[in-house]
Amino acid sequence: LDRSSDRSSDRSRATPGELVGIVAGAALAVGSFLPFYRGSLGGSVLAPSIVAGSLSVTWTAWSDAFALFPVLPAVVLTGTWIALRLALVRIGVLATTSRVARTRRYDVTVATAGAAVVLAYVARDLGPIAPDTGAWLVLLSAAAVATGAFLRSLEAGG
Amino acid sequence: VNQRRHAHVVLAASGALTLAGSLLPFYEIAGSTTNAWGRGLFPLMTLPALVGATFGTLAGLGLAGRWRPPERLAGLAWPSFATLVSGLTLALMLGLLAGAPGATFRPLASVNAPIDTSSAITRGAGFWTMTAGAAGLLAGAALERPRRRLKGI
Repeated sequence: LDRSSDRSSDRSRATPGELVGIVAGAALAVGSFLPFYRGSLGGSVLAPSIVAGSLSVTWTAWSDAFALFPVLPAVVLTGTWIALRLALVRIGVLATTSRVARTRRYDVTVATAGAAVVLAYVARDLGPIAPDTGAWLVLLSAAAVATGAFLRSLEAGG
Repeated sequence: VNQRRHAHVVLAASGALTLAGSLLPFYEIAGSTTNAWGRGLFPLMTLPALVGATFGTLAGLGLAGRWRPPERLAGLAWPSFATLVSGLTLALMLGLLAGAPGATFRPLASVNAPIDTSSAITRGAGFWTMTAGAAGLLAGAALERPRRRLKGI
């Protein structure tokens, strides 16, 4: 039996690692529906056929543009899944020893990789296209999901 | 030991392939090409090359007897960690294959401006080389995993 899992499940209150993971996963889901990239059209490299005028266009993490889909949605769904799994274990719907709950051992690596991918999306130089509010919220949330996973690994004793 | 050596050879070769692929044309846009280090692609499309370079270098050092994999990393046994990271790298490449590389203005389609500049963007040799390299990384990492013996054999 995994002693570390028992240690966390016996507590009546959520640990800091669990709280950070649950809140960050929820914020990640919300942020994915906010504008991730914003750009203005108007004779730019993006749309040379548009002659004049400036039209602001936004893309969310779910948009099929700039290679956002399906990579970024996959990161968002993974972070949300981690939060949902934590919440289900916390309210007792999922046993800590269940096969699903035991996937927590991959959390640190998967969440860190996810945060690195989001950072790469934000750091891209797309000229007239710039990261918007959704990008910053998704980046912060993804980093927090990774931090939460790291905290939980410390709470579990390594 | 032999199994680990084979794994290191595959990892080193795949790492080199991924890194080399990042220097080849990744996308071809209106007659010109850009590699994974180019503007707009760096650092997203460069991530697989960085993973490949890291694993390739470590495997090369392992072959030269100058590096031994750690027992555990991020709470996982080294072979599991390497398999997971290389699997995520391949997933990233496949995700980039599935998505539209350029801008698609679908929200504007309803206002009579259905523009899709991604159709002018094609994937180049670098993209396919990096995808093959990422698949090789996963194969090399999987080779590192200890083989389970079947009961009764």
